[in-house]
Amino acid sequence: MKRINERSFTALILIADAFPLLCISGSISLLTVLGVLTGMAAQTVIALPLAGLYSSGGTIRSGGRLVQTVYLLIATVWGALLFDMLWRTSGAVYIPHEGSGKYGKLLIAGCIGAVCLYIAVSGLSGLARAGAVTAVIGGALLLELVICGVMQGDMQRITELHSTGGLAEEIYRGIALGGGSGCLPVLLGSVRGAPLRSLLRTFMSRALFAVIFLLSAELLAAPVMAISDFPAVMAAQLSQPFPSQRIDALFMIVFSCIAVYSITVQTVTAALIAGELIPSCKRYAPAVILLLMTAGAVILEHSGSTSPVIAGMNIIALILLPAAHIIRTKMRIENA
Amino acid sequence: MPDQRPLSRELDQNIDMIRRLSGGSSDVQINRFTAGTVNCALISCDGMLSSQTLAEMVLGPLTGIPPQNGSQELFGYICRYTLLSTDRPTVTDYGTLFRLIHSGFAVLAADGADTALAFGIQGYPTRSIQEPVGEGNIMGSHEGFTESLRTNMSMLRRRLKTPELVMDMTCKGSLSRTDMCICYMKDRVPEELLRDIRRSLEEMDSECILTTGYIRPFLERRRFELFNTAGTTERPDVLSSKLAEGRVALLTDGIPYAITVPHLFCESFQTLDDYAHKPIYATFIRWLKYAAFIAAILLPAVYLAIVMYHPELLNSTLLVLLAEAEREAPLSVVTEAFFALLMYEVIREAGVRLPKPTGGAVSIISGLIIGDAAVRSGLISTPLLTVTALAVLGGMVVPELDPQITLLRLMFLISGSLFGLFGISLAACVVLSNICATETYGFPYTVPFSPFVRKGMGDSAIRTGMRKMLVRGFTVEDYNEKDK
Repeated sequence: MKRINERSFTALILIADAFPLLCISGSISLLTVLGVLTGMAAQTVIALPLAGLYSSGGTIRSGGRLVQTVYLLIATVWGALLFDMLWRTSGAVYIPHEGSGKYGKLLIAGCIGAVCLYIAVSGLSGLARAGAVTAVIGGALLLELVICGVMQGDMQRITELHSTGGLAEEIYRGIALGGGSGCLPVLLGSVRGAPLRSLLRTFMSRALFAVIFLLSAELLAAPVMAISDFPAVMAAQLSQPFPSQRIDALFMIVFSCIAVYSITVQTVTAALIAGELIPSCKRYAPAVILLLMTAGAVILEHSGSTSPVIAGMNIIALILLPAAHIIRTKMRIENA
Repeated sequence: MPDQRPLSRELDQNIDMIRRLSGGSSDVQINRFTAGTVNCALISCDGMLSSQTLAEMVLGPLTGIPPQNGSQELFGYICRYTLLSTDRPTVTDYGTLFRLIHSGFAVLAADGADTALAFGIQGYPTRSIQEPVGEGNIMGSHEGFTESLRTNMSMLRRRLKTPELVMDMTCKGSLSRTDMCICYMKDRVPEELLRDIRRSLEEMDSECILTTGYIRPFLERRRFELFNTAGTTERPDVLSSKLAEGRVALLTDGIPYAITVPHLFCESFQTLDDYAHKPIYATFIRWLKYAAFIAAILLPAVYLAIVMYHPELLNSTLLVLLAEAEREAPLSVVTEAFFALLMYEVIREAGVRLPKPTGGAVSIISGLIIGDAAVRSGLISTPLLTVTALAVLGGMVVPELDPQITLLRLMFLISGSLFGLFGISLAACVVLSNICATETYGFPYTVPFSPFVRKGMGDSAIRTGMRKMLVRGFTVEDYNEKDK
């Protein structure tokens, strides 16, 4: 397997995180930020054994075929969730042909799916390099949001906004926003360099990115938070640094690129495991997985709030591999 | 395949065989004479050697040799007491004999000897050293490569007078038997790169090598890649700098371009003049080129996408201006855009292929007559023509990437016209992925940008001062990702 460097790994996980953040629905408050921070801290602690496993020479195979299948399932479900998020937000970002009902949705999914397939077939190292470039473009959007948030936002309104739920609910929400948690355990095995350092760097970057993004979005969209379906999208549309020139184009481009790359990260993760499980279908794995993701998105389209379920899935993803490895090792010792 | 049959001891038999193998070709000349009482024949190819050098340096001394006891003694005498030429290989088979005479050697065969002596006295007409036409330069050298391999090698050697520079000759092409020279700095080239390139060349089974395009595919991967991972240059000074960075170069006889491996994306934006200016100005020019490259690809597509799908992005003044211009045009904006771009490509191709005097007329017809008439008659709107012209002009800033820019411009135009900025973003993802997945012999095409290599930034994103650049000790090995 081709290996990727630490920076590229962090970039891939950040991109996987970025799209759920862009598509965040419901109001954002300081409690949301606190929830994300707490959730990230909890995930970091939970993921430490994972770093230990990879440091001691473990691989994704260490958990056995069943564990690999679970990771395959998690990545596919995450892909389906991302397609669903894309469909839900496509109206808000004015994607052409979006208003043509089911035909429009399928057309968008088809286009994105085709591009994802092309990128996934190019391999992990190509994706990692492209992901790093996309992360820089995403960083430019974040910078623009921060500047506009500071210049146009009303600092006092941040503290005035209250969350609809309690801290526990916001922590669930925060963990559920981590699109990269599902693929992190698999991709960490492909990183050149110390796993613990990569893991800590990645989680710190994720927390920093999420906090800056949410605070900027809150600053910009605070006046319309109550009536906005997608506050982050609204914040991006409200952030206009030039008085006579709109710059929504930048957001539209970044939104589409991040959508493509976040889905591709999940596709490549799932394809890597599928290739390990059934080597003969390695070639067709990305295409099959993308079809499964689209089908999954159709099923998920009418589901309600799934934050606790997704949060649980992310936690399982982080803890499953080292736990399975420990159990297998103990069983082997007992049998011996 | 070259004929591996050995030469005979009988001179008459050798001459018959040469006549038979050459099919009686008129340019193969066989001159029989006696040297030192031994019957000899001088075999050469008309037009490939200098008649004056042949008469003065070979025939003159040979006919003056004192009587010898047989061919072995004659060859011994020649080797010991006469120089005749510095390049003096021994021939044992007909394949080598023909390759040498076709490369401008004169071959001396003697009765009773199963070997022959060859003398390098090449004297075929070649183009003189001229200024390169494709790589303009103001403050550097004005010499460009020619079609003669030896001349090109000498130009390179004049710039790198060090024993570290190795020029390794080889011969490729079953029909053309083209001389090729692998050049590298033995203390800087990554050994694995050199070994892999040699292996690639061994696998090359072309019949003829007539342009760089006959060699490059064998040095690149088989998967579809938009950009070239083997670069070309027609400047010996540029090649010297690339060799100094540890790259491998291929010089080919008959081709006035050197091929360099590995070739990176950032190299397309570097020119020799960058190093003649102050770093701040060179950095500005470099960023200008990156911007021009992006504008050349995206400008018409973004114009189309905004006009068709996202007019809210325009301020009111610009919106009114564009709306008025497009209202008067009889064709749809998509048709207009494709028409303008394809017309430009037709005009460009006509200008390149036609003889120079007629080529000038093409630019007058296209620029003054078609362009002016199209706008005046309202066939194409002025803003669209302006955007197209700016995009085309942007492409000219990076001539090395012109084929890619042309194709990508059309690709983005199609995606922009179908899906607006969303389509452009998707196309951008495809291109970005393709370019990032491109690599050659373990060197990613997009390095040092992605994967990020800080050491490489000094001569890619910016151009640092020469003192800093010289002390950084950079070789291309720093970019190698193979087996990492």
